[in-house]
Amino acid sequence: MKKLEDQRLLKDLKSGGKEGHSAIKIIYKRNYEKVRGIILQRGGNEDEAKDVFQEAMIVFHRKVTNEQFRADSSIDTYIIAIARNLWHQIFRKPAYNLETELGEEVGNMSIDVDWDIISKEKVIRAIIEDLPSDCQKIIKHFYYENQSLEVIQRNFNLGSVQAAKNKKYRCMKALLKLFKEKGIKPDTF
Amino acid sequence: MNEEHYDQIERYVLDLMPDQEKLEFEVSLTRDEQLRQDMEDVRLLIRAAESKSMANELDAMHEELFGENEQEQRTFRIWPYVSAIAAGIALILVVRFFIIPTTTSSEDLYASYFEPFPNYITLRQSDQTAAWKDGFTAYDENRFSDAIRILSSAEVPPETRQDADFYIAIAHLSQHQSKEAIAIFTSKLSGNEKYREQINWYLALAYLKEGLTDKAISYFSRIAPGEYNHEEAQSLINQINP
Repeated sequence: MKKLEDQRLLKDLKSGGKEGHSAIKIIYKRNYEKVRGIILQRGGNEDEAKDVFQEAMIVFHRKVTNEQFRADSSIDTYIIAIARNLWHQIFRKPAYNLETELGEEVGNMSIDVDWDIISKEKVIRAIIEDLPSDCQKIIKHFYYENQSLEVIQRNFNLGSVQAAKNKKYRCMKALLKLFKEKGIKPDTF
Repeated sequence: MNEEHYDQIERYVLDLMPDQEKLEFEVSLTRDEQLRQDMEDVRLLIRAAESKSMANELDAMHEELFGENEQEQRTFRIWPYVSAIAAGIALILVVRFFIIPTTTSSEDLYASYFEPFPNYITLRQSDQTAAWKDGFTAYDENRFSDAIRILSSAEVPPETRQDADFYIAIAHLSQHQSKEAIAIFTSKLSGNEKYREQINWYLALAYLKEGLTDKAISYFSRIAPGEYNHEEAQSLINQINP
C-alpha cells in the first residue's frame, strides 16, 4: 500500500506545480516529527532539527526530479538516511548508528551526494537575500518556477524579452559580485 | 564573464543545448580551465537559486503545518519565566489600550508587503527631458516627495504619461499616502493595460492600508496565477480571511 502511495507521490513531485507542492507537503508532514525526534535525542536543538530536515527534503527533491532516486527504499527511509548523513557531514556532528532503531536498511544506506556542494549552497542561499527584491523574484521565477522570459517580461513590465534576459543576467552577475565582496567566490570556498 | 558567455554556460547547465553544440562545449571544457571554472560557478549559483526558492517554500510549509504547535510549546517552556512579570505587562497593555490607538492588523500586513516598484524606465523610453530624468533620479534615490513634484509637472508626450502617473502613485504609497495613490490608480490609470497587474497589486495594498479589506481582497483576487505577485496576493487573502 505504502509503495503505491510512494509511486503516486514521486509522480506528483516530478510533474511539479500544484501536485508537486501537495506531494512535498504530505512527505513533510509524514517525516518531520521522526527526524526531529532523532536529532533532539542526539543533542540537537529545534532549529537544527528543522534545518537538517529541510535540507534533507531539498536533497531528496533534487534526487527525484533528476531521476536519481531509484525507489529501492521507501521515501521515508530515504529521507531519514539523508538527514542522518547531513547531521554528520554538514553539521559536523558525530555519526550515529540507526540500525538499532530503524533497521539495517537505513543504517547501511549510502547516499550519493556531494556534501561539500550542499554546504556551499547553504552559504549562497543566505547571500541571495542581500540581492534587491526584484532580482530575488526574477531568479525564483526563472530558475525554480521555470517561468519563461516572456512571462517575466510581462510581470516585471520590462520593455522586451531581451530586456528580461539582460535583467536576469545582471541579477546573476550581482550575485557573483556579492560572493567576491564577501570573499567566498564559489571556487574559493 | 560577459552576457553571451554566461548565456552559453547557462544553456549547458540547464541542459538546453542541442546535442552537437553540447558536444563541442564539452570538448572546450576539457581544454579551457577558465571556462570549466566559470561553468562550475554558474552551476553552483543556479543550484543555490533553485534550492533557495524551495527552502522558502519549506519554511512557509513548516509554519503552516507546525507553527501553532511550536508556538504553544515555546509558550509552555518559557511560562515559568514570564509568569512573574505577566501581570505587570498586562497592566501596561490595558493602560496602552485606553490611551494609545492600536495599530490595525491590515496596516501591519500592508507594511510587511509593500515595496516600491523598481524603476524600469530607461532614457530610451522617455523623451529625455531634464524634468523626466530628475523625477526618476529622485524616485531611485527614495526622494519620493521630490519625485511626485517633478513628475507631476513634467511635460511628457501622452504615451509616457502613464509611466509618470504609475510611478507617482507608487511614490505616494511609499510616503503612506494611500488615498492619493488610490485616486490616481482609479482615475488616471483606470483601465490601463500596461500596468494592469501591478495596479491590481498596489491598489489592493492601498485599500488594505486604508482598512478597506473587502476592496483589497477584490483586487488581490484579480491577480491570476503567473501574474505579478500572485503568490503574495493569495497569501494576503488567506491572512486577511483566516
